[in-house]
Amino acid sequence: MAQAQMADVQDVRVDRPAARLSLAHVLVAFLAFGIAAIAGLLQGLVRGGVITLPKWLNYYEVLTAHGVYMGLVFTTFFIIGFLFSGVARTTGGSLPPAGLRLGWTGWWMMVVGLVMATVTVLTNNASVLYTFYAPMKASPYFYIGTGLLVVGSWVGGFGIFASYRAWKRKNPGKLSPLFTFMAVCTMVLWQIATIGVALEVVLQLIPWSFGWVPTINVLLSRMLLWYFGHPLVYFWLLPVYAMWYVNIPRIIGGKIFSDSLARLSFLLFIFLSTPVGFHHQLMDPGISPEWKFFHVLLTMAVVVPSLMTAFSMFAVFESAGRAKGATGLFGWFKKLPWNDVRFFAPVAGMIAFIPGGTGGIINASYQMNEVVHNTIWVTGHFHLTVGTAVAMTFFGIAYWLVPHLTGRQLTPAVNRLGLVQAVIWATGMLLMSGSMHILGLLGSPRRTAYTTYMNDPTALSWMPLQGVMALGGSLLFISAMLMVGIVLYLAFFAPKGFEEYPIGELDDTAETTPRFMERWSVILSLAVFLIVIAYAYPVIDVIQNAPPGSPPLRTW
Amino acid sequence: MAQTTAPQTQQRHEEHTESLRGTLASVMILGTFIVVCWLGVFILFLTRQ
Amino acid sequence: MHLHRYEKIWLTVGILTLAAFVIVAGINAFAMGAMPPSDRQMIDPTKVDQTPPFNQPGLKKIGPNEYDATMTAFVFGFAPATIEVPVGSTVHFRVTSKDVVHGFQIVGTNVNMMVVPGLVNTASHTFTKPGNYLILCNEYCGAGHQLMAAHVVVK
Repeated sequence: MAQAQMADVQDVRVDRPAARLSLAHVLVAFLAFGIAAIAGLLQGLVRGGVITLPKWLNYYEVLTAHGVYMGLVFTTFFIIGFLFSGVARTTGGSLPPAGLRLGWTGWWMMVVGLVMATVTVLTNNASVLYTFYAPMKASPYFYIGTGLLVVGSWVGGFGIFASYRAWKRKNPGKLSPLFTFMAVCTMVLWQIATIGVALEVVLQLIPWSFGWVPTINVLLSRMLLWYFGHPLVYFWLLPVYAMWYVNIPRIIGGKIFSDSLARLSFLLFIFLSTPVGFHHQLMDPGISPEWKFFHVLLTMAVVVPSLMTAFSMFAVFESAGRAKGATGLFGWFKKLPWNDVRFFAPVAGMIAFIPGGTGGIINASYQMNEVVHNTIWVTGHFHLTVGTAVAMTFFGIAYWLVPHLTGRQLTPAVNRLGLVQAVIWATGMLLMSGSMHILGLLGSPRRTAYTTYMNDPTALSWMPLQGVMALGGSLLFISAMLMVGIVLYLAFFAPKGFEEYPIGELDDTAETTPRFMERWSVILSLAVFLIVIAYAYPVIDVIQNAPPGSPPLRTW
Repeated sequence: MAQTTAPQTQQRHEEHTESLRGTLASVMILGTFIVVCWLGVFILFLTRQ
Repeated sequence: MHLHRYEKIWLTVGILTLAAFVIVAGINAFAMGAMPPSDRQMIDPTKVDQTPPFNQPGLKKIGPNEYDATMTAFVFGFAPATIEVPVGSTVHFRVTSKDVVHGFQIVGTNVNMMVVPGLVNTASHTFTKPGNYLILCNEYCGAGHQLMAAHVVVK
């Protein structure tokens, strides 16, 4: 009986309108991913000293394209597409009309923003990297384009909120499905986070880049950017955690470890991921050491929900393995479906997240940041986190999401090819990020074209490892092209059929989740309260006692 | 989903405890890794002062 | 909310470890003086060349084995481009930018700071070993960013 019910639940299919919306996002995401991968290959080869770019192509233009396309476009489009599909899947298979309408409006806004930003980047009028630090001034249309991308993502988020509200109205008093709750949390976090960058773009960068105001308060622009910059990485991470908590248990034939703990960790991310931005500015002038230290303290607190997640993941694996008869301390490890790419790719990502997260703790450890700040260690760090943990989980999702949405199947052959793709990616990252971490500790800087600093012996000693970086980057490129090809195959050419959208079930022994977890007024108030504590004084201070402003400059 | 009575729940939880030894061991290995890496960089920091 | 006994153990160990990281870093910074560079002095970035002491960047001896290095960062270099000090010298670097955001990192030391236009940033280091130390810009600042370097010669 229970078994039959469960089978029914797993048969739920995302209906055509919702599937089209989700697929539109996912396909743009992988298009951006492919372009960004080409840029990444060029960078790796230049930095490794293998090739030199032609005169008409600026290294930093390529670097800007890589950052914008990977960090902003691939992630944002994929996340919104995935979340829409999961919300539809867990609320009965469809999205309400308001959800679809907002979803498509957001998609169009993001696409228009993407085109504007692309034109400015490709014409070399916006080689300011995706952090666009003032007073380097890009074309105003770059800021407007990226601004539209963000506002479009808000509208997409409103679509998710509308779907959640519609479900709540139909099911009064009931606890929302776990995935839908996580999707709402992710978009709530995103709304809170992007306020900072929206203020920077609208109030500072756009008027200044058009020449309506002569100078800009650089310190304020940095604070607003980094108010956004850290929760940005949690915006990437939360959908990944949603996949780990909700989809993985079903894929491995286990149960969700704890519904309430999963929700609690997401709420902790909403509270703690924003009031921590100064840990990106530990080496900045103009911010007092006490405020920096306070943000460091809160940064350590935001590690806790990740510690909870680590425990939950191992617990899900071990329980599933023991249910299949595993014995001994680590016997369950062998019972996991290692030859299923839907499992293997995300788990490779999880493994990378261990050194990735550890590096993050080191980066945020106040004065220790002096060892690694703006060295290529940091590049290695976020290639493990977003480039491996997040990206490989997105790959793992795409392997079943794309065929599910298009009514096709993940065939055994594609599964095998997927394993190869994942192994190449993981190997490439191991080589590239590994050498980046070592080089960073030796002092080699990030975001720098090939240089020996006029044959400085120290800089020359970095060259062999930069060669390893280039090798890793080449493997990543091969894997990326394979991935794009597989996505296209799964979307348009794979055999027709039904591919399951795996959603984990709760353990029978699971206790009911406390109601306060969906009291949004309380949740949002607490989040705002923490942000006010962490930011109000420093921001007001830097506005009232503003350093002399900077005029716009084009230095490329 | 299914309603369970209190004694059964109790018993299930005990089973749980018994079967999560590998999890505890795994997270402790993870914790040790974090501490070792952190100390490594901290020592590097001290030697460069 | 039920927490598994092992999870309680894990979270306790984890939180205590994180607390230990913060305490160790805090003591080392606030009690032992290893603070991250956080100078709050302001300067008009368009008038750096007219503002003392940055109108005359250079090295000044202020005591036995102690120096003030006043430096400017600009696209794409530092002034002065070379500094020479004897072994055992403590140098207080005071840097500001004449244009965009730059980085100031001395490879092999803990000197690593952001140079933001409108503000001055400071860091000190005692050079106990002889050598030719590479100073480089580690924040993207434009087309010639990869050429932006200087040296500290310790004899």
